[in-house]
Amino acid sequence: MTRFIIRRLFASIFVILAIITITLWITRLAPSNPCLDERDVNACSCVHQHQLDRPVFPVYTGTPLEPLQGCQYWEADTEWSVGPVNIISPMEWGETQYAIYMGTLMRGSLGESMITDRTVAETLGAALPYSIQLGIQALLIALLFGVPAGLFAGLRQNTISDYSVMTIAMVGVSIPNFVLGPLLILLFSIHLGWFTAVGWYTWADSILPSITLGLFYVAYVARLTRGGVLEVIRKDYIRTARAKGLRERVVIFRHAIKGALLPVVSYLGPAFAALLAGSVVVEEIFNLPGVGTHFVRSALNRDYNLVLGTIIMYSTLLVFLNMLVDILYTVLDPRVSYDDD
Amino acid sequence: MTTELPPSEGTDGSAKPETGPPTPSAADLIEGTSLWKDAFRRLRKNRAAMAGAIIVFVMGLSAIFYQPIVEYGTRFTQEEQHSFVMPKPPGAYSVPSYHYKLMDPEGEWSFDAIDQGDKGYIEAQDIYEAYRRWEFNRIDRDGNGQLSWDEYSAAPLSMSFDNIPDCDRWDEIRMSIAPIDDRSIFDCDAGEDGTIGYEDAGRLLDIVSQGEAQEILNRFDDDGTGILARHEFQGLPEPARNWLGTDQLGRDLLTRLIYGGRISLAVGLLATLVSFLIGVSWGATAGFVGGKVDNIMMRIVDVMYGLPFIFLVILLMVVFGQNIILLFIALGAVQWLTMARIVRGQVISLKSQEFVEAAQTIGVSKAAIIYRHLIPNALGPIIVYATLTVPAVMLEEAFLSFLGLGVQAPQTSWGALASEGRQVMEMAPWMIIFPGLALAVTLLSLNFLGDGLRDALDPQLRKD
Repeated sequence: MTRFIIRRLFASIFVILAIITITLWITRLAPSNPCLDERDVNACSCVHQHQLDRPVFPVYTGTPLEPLQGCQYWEADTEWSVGPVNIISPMEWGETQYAIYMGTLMRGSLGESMITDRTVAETLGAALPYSIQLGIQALLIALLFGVPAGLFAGLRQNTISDYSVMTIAMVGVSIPNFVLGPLLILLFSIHLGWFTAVGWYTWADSILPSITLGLFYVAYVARLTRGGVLEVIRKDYIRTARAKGLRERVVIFRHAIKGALLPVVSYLGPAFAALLAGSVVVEEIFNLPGVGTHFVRSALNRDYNLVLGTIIMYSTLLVFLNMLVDILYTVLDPRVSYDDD
Repeated sequence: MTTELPPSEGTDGSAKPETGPPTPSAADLIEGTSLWKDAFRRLRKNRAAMAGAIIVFVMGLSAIFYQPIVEYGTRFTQEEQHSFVMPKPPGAYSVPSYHYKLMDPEGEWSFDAIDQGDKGYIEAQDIYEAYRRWEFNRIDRDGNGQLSWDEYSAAPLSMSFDNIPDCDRWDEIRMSIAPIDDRSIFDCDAGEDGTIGYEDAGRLLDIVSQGEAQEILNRFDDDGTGILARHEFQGLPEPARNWLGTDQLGRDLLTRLIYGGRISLAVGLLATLVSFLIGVSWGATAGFVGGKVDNIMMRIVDVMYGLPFIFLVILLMVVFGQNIILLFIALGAVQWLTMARIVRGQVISLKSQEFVEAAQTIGVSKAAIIYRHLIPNALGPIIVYATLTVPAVMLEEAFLSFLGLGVQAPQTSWGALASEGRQVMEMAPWMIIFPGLALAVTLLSLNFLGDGLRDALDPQLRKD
């Protein structure tokens, strides 16, 4: 197990490095830049402050940034080759935007926002509690309602109650959250007046967003649980448990449920990723100041550092959570071991 | 469709051995039932899957035949705007700009009836009034020349508002399109008899604005005199129904839904194709080659599984503009991981099976083994997963379009329509309900179809 974790951590670092590199490259490829809105003099200092005049990587084509009138831009002292493809000499590789950003990360900082005067860490720190609360509540809703529904349907296979629960679950899987959210607002906030329509001030304001985000997973978890139940219930060890005269309740809740929940556990990893993505839309619909809102806004504003910071945070979170899920899996299913291969 | 196979609509060939006459022909006996025929028979028994298949088929047909449907059915094009500051509710009427039928120039649509005051020509004001009279007669069901509250509220031209206008504001109100939601307003009319006459109705009756009336006139005004002379008059365009209402610009929602379905389905299919190509080649390579290569390739898949891909897609769409080709590729490129795993698993398990060994023993070439034995046998799960990828991709496209990062105007998709609808959902709930419904029904159908295919193609995987 320890070997598995170490190997996994090692691979994760490379993945996150690759993600940072690709994201940094994509942001810099974008037309327009964060200093575009600034007026004349400010634009120069903005470019200098964020070192956008440097080449992004040691190898680049053309100019890193279209020079503004009257601005003194950074120039490489020595270049191996100048022409369509420029290569900076290794002495100056530390001067590239990539190296500078990596240096910032090494010092344990996510850098400063290029649009606002707050640091990326501050911005994300303020936004994260909303997103985390939303995600956890949605996941809780999914598990609290999805697992019982799936158990209920699976134990009554091919009855009317099974069919109705599963049809409802299928409908639930098919309603996009950006349709569900506005409809819930329309019904519960506008017509019935039970909740505020937008914003997040009290806990009650988090109910509708959590339901919107969680309902899809309720349906999905119900389907997975039912599948798991049907598979486990035919296993020999369940027959043995029944044969030795255990009560049905004990058979189900002591023996069957562990195996029945395996598909749900293995789905948790992808579910985290999907919850993060879903929270972008839900935050947009309910106008919540979460990470997703910041991400879309910063991508549109070309706030490079904030985009990178969000992606780094999400990737790290996901890699970590996926590892946790894999470990949880071995606990639930003794047959699975990661040390053989 | 039915639980048991009725002999009358049996599956032509495959059903014959079971339901055929007492002496089946030799050919039928020898043929037997192939994997695919068997699967198809099982699929036909699954009512939900068949209903899903039919709905998807109809959606696909409407997407393919968008042009004729628009020309002869809805009569509106998805881009044509009708000057109207408020969305019209389902069932209201507008005058189409392109694919219209002309009214027979008889009765109230004859030249003399339209030409108010016997001027000998028709001007824009006359056309405006002609359509208003038509609208009034349509709402005035009992034809008594007065609109009662019941007639008014039954006609799809009102939207509910919380601000109830009082009588003092009636003059103001009737000059605007603001609808009324209060019976008392019917007591404010001149006759004070609880009805509204033609003159009192104000702009409630506008199905064309003054500007649109001018445009309609210009369409027929060949000599450019700004008036319609008797010899130029062929009849006016017939108003057409906005079955699902309109948006704020007066664009017909049904037409836009069909057009949006085209884009949504196309994105679903093409992105699935992209994911299919990447996934199958990646998985098949890993499975065939095996060993270290397999190990590395699948580790890459494992690691990529847990990445926030949709954020990279969002970033790509923001950065490179909302290019629809990029959308196909980006969405397909994030969906191939599961496909690769499935294909690899299939290939590995098939590679070592007896029938492949048997084929090798009798000297079948490697290519023939792949094409005759491996691919047909691996195809089932691949098709099933591809069917389930389509709704997933459509959902992602809708998600991006909803954020304003997917399909851009003048094109539209169901996600983009839902996004537009959300902004005015208090005033015009139909603008979010219908696109949402279209999306949900299609996704539901595809999900049922995918589940049904899985049950039909792989009875062992069947969970019920």
